[in-house]
Amino acid sequence: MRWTTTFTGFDEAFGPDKNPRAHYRSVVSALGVLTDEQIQYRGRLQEISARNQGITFNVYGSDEGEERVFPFDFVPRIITADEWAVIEAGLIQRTTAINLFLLDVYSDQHCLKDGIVPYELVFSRSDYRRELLNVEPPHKIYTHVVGSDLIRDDKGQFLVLEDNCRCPSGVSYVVQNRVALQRTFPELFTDLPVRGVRHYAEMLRESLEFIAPRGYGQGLTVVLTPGRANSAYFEHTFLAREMGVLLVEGSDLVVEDNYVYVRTTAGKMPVDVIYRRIDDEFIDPLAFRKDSILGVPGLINAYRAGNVALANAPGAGVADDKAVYPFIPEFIRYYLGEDPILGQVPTFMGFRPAEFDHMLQHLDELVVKRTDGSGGYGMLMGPQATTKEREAYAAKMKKEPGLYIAQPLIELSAHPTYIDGEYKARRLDLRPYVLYGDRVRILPGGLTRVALEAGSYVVNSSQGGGSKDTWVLESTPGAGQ
Amino acid sequence: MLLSRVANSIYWIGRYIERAENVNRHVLVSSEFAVELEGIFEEIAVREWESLVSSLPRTGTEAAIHGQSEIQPESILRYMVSFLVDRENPYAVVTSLGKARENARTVAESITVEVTTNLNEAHRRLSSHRTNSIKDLGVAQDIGWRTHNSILTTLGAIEHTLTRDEGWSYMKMGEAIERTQRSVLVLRTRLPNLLRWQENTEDPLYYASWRSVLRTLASLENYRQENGPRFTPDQVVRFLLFHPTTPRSVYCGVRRMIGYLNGMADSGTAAKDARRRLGRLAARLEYEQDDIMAGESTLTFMDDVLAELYHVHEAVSNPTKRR
Repeated sequence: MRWTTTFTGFDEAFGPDKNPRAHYRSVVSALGVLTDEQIQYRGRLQEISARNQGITFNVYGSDEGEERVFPFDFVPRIITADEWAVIEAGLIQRTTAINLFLLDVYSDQHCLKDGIVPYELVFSRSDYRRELLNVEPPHKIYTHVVGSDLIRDDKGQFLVLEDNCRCPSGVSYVVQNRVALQRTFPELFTDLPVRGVRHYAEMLRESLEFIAPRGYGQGLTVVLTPGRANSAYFEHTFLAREMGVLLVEGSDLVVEDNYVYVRTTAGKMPVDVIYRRIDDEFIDPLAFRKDSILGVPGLINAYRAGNVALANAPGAGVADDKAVYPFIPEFIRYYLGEDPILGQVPTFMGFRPAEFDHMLQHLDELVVKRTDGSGGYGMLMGPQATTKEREAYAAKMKKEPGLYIAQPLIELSAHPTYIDGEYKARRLDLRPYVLYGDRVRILPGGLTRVALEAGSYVVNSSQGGGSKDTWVLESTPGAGQ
Repeated sequence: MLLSRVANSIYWIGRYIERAENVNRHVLVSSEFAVELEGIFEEIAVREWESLVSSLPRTGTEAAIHGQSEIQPESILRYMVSFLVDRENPYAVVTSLGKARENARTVAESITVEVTTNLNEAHRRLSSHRTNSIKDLGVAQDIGWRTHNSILTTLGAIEHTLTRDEGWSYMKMGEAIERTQRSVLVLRTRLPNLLRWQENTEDPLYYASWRSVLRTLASLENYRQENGPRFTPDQVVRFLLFHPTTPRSVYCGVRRMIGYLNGMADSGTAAKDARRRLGRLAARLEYEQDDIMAGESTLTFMDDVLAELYHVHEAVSNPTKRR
């Protein structure tokens, strides 16, 4: 079996000497004895199993009812205990600071008065909810579930690329990828102390019920889904089932006298906590978008009255706006008095005229994103774009400079990935999941997304990405276990 | 704790899996019977299939069967293919499994992974066959038997893994209504023809016909344990209507439905009305057996049962109307 290691950036599995890194040795040698036929047979088993379990996603814009299986690459991505310790401490610090920023920006606004972040920047964000000014969420928590996207630069340093503070999805794949790999490639696990991820739902339910208005374990907790047309619908059913709570749609809930009830066969039952997988805008047609048919009329008033807890809290989206991202290291210093443990990518901001000019002059070196974009849509990969594409994009930028940010292209780390009978280096990222309940906790693992196309930097599932099982080791091999 | 929306979907999962099983069984029994008769009693072999078609609502079914130009008209294969794998046929096994699966997808959090997986697997395997790719009867029968086994596996997962809660009552109510309706419809369709052989017990076809009716309703072995090897119309009809424990009898079905209604939290008017109707039906099945068996009143009674089942279906498939 061929392993291709030639690659310009950081290789996760192989050192500069082209030999496997210590923590990859056992996996590389276990895979080495498997034939192509064995591997393809197991791959088919995995796909059939995913289909039969309904682990599929619906593709937006494709024919209704098309169910796709998220491509899964069986070569596990391995993170040592030492590396994980840094990620964990860094994300706890970052999530704590983000939550303090949200509390502040929706109450006393010290960060604005002290000039840490400009007023006009915050107030012009589409996810800033001025309706919720001075509405304090239960236990002062905004960000119950955060999925932070991490990348590794050419030196192997982990950097935060973005924070997803609204309804980050993908955690069901973290669990399902582990289940799938343990079933199809059990021998890979024999020599390494891999930390478990299957308890995510228990962690989540604990975090959610911590914020219950009537106290822990008293009322009903539900998962609110936009419905089966949503691309993450499988995940919603998965989380409800694993937590043992009801999965509801907006029309299953009703608000009366500022209390939320769910319609059951036995009549209406009161609801305490809603893990909502519907964005702010659509959650309550009386408060936000009036044309939303997914939401629950009156929900925001019930929340305001303190009778129901929402996770994540409405308004949290302003913290993961791409134009707020450059200020997060400053928030860590300002609110915690600490230096950031994890680095992030230097960012030019279109709303600053000098930086906007710099962006226009260096389009061929930069990755430009819209501040309101996600999923890899609407961005420009400057170094890979044609002159014509760059000119067209620049014309759009000039219409609304404030909507754009730009970052240098980071050479993402790469990892062996099974493609056409060979192990080839493909770029990847990592999304760990942070839960904020009575304390901030990180699931030891995460969603590793991999760009299956040669040379590609885009790992999104909607743009041809796949995923891997992500192993966090209990101890670091070769580091005095 | 059960959402009204979820109750409705679970009810339909129960109905569609039962329908898939019933039609699948019917197709297999009919094809064996037709093969046995073909060349000897051509006309009766064809009538066997007509009885399957006429025990189902006609909308769409006939068009689907006669629309397959590539298969020889009136052949056993035409019927088998249509009732197993043709999505155009609303009563095909693949259609019912597909609908059960669609309902399961909307309530995946309320049923176990084992049920979901087995149901998806049954549907995936059956729907991988296309109507024009099944060229001979042997292949069709093999598909039929395999599908039947995978449906039974799904039912096993239901039996072994689901909590006996309110959702269970809805699922099993769907199953009991579908099954009882099927028993009555099959009997109602076949009885007039079968009665013509009453005096002709030497005819081998006489036994073959009764065997086929009982096997279609999965009751042949149960009947033999009770009544031995002899078939008389009176005994068979009494068995299928009044027997208290054989799973396909009308009386057994009605008693199950009463039990499931009691397991539902719904206390609305429609639910009360359904209880009253089922109670009255159970009393007639228990205490008015001779009246029901007298002459033409058997057929009238079966029509009554179908009408009452429809009312019960209406009451439980719209639980509490979003109170």
